[in-house]
Amino acid sequence: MTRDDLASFRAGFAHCELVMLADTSAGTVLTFASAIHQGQERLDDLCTTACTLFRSELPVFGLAVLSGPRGSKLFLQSPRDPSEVICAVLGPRADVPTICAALGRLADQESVT
Amino acid sequence: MTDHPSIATILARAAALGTDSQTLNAPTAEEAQGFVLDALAACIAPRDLTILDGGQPLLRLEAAAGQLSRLVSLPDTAPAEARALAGHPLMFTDLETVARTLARLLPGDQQLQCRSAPPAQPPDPAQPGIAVDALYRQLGLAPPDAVIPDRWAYLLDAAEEMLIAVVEPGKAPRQICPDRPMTGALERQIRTLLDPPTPAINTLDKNEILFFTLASDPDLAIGLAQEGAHPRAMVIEAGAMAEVAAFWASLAHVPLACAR
Repeated sequence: MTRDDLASFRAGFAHCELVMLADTSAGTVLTFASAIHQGQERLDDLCTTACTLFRSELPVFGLAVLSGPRGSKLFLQSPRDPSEVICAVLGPRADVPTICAALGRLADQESVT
Repeated sequence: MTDHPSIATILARAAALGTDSQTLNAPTAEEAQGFVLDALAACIAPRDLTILDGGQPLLRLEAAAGQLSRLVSLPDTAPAEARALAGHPLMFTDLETVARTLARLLPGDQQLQCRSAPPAQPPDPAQPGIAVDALYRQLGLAPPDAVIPDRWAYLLDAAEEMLIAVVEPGKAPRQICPDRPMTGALERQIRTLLDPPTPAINTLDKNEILFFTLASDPDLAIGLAQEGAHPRAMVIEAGAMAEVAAFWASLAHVPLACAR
C-alpha cells in the first residue's frame, strides 16, 4: 500500500483527516496521508494505540473504532498481514459506516495485489 | 495546548476538519439553527462568518468570545426590524428579533456551509452583543452536554434494538436480546476487560468509547466506555458497530430540541 493509495482514499472523504499504515509488529509508521501537517508525535500516538489494541491481551480482531467528541479513529487489520493496521482519523461529522466499508475495500484490494 | 476542554475540543475539531469549510445537510430547523449557533459559539477571536445555503451566501454574522456582536448582512427575506439592525452593534434587547430572524432564515431542508474570516474592523468591546447561550435558549435549543447528563444511559436507550447485553461493574450482566444469549466465556472476557488496570481502559479519554470485534465471535462487538471511575461494556451486533460509534461521536455537537 503506497502513500498515493492512502492519499486518494483520504481525498474521497471530506471529514477524513488522516490515513496511516502501521506495522504493529515493529511499532512503526509505514506511510500516511493527511489533510494538514501532522507532527511525528501524533503519528506515534496513533501507532501506539494500534499496538495496544492488536498486540496486547485484548481480544481485538479485525476492526476497532474509538469514538469521542473530537471524532472517531478507525483501526483495521490487513487481511493479508494482521500485523499491518490501517488507521483513519475522522472528524465528528464523518460518515463512519461508509468510511468503515471503504476502508474494508481498501484493505481487501491490498490483500489481492 | 491548553488544558481548557472547550478550547482543546474546538482546536481538535478544527484540525479534524482540515482546511475545508464545514458543510452540513440540515433536514430540520433544529439542525440548521444548531449549525449556525455552533459556529458562533466556536468563535473565540473575532470572526466574520458567512453562512452559505446551497453554495450561495445566506447571511453574514460577526462573533467574538461566544457572543454574536453584529448582523453584517441579511437577505431581503429577513424581517424588516432585523435588517434595520444590520451593521450596528447588537444589544441583549435585540435577542428576540435576532432569534426570530435566524428561525425564519434557517427553516431546515438546507445544505449549509460556514466560511470564516477576520472581521474588517475589531468589534467594540463596550458592545458585547448577544450571548450564543441566550440564542440557544430563545430558539428552544440546548447543547447536548446540557441535556444529556448520562451519555451512557442515553446511548443504551438509543441503541436498544442493537444491544445484546450490558455489563457494568458490581452488577449482574443485563441480557437485552434473549435470542442472542451471552456465553459464559464472553462474559468472563468482558469482566476481565472491566477489571482495572486494563490497556483498553487506558486508551480511552473522557467521553470516548471503544468498539471492537472479537476473534472468538466475529459477529459480535464489544463497546467499552469509562464514565468517571467506572468502566462499563456493551455487546452489540458487529454490523452495527460503526453506526453506534458515529452516534456517540455526534452526541457532542449536534444540538437537540428541548422544551423552552
